[in-house]
Amino acid sequence: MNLPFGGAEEASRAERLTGAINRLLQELVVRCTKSQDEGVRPYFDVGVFGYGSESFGPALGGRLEGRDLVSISEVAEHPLRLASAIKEMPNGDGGFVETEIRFPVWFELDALGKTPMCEALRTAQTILEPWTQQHPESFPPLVFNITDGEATDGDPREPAEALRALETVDGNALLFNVHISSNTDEPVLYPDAVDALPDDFARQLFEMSSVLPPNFQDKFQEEDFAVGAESRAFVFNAGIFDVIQCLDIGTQLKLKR
Amino acid sequence: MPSLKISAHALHKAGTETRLYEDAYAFDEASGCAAVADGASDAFEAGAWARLLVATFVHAPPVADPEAFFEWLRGPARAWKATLNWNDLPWYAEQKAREVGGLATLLGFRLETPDEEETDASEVTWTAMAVGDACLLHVRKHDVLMRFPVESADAFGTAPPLLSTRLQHDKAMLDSGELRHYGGTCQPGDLFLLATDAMAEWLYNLADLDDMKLGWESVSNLIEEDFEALIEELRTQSIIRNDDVTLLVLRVGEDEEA
Repeated sequence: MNLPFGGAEEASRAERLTGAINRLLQELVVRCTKSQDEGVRPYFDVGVFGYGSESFGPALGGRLEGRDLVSISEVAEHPLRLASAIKEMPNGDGGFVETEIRFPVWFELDALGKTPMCEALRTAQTILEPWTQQHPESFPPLVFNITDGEATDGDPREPAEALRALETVDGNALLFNVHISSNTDEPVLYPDAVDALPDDFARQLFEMSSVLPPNFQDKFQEEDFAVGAESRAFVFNAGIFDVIQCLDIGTQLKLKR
Repeated sequence: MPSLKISAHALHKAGTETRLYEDAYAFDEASGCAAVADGASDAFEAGAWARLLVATFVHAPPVADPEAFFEWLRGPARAWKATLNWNDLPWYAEQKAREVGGLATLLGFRLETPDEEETDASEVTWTAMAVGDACLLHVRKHDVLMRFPVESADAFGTAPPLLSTRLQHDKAMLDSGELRHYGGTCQPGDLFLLATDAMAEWLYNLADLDDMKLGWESVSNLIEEDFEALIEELRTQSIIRNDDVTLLVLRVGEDEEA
């Protein structure tokens, strides 16, 4: 794929990708935290895989290196490092107070390389098939394929279809595709037809994406997204904010009050 | 002042443990105060927050005015923060405590002490205030005189407003009119049922039955005889949502000096 820019801008795009993953993991950990004495409840198993410069594979580092699926409780305890920043927090009286905020980093910048998307989808299937058999009563797996480029190893629609066929009693595995684009086309969120999409790559990702199940449609509508019965779990050329929003919403359903 | 006899009933959500029960209740028969609260499971130390809210309500009930209520909230919010070992919190607990905090609904009830000169032996004033969907039913013989603050059974199940340990959240919420209050009069023999949402929804559904075979007296007897068995049966039959359930039954008695 020809990228319209490289160098610093490409690095910035990769940073946006890694930032999105770190924010998502942080969000999941915090969501599973309920009390000061208990640690993080193991509500999720999480796998992070990277299209790195070398090859496709598990992308968590440190004590989690090389692991396919890790309980969110372990993810919480083993970031690569804790960074900190000074942030202005409300003091409860209408004012603000400077507070040191610690935030975890699990996933660091790696050079962008090839995009073996077929291999990625097949790897997800290999890991999740036994998982669905071992957890037949659980919420079905959510798979986020975050990419900035086309598959470099063939047509990913077939392995995507096989992945979406995995199921638990609660339904089929959900495949979200998140395209962090380098062009300037208008963002498209949860489209319900290919018409609005500008090129074959976007159309291919659309076809790979799950149709949003009814409970997701309801949640998205509550958040004022225009979604209908045919809307797909697909965000095209969306900014990083849209991506996090998409990830957050997509994982909120599990944990009701 | 008429006497108040109060019985409390609580059961944690099925499939969890007693320690994960995040509702709370408190009452004081002598002062005529009672409260129930429902800690939100998405929040942090929500059970502790719910317990502080009901305890503070019964010990020192607030005035049902948004500004006064906001000032009152500072007490339990400060007490909640003091229960955390901030220096030892791991990053995720610190973040959850700071950015989400405790969240809970609250329903508080009190019988007003009658004015000496205007004492009417047959009736006494009660008041209630609420944020969220913990509810009160005022029952006289076969009739439900009042349901508060949720208006109908089909209004349960949506995301209710919640009291937070983060005061800036509470300020905005109270400014938008989420503190509800109501008052009325009651007589000896009246019942008040104070319940968190799942229990309240079931009571609202009972009240909506055209031909309720059991009278409210029988219902309250059933509750008081074996609450756990009743709830388990209702859960088995999918008549009640599987959630923490909490119910206070308040019986208004004769004036103690009469």
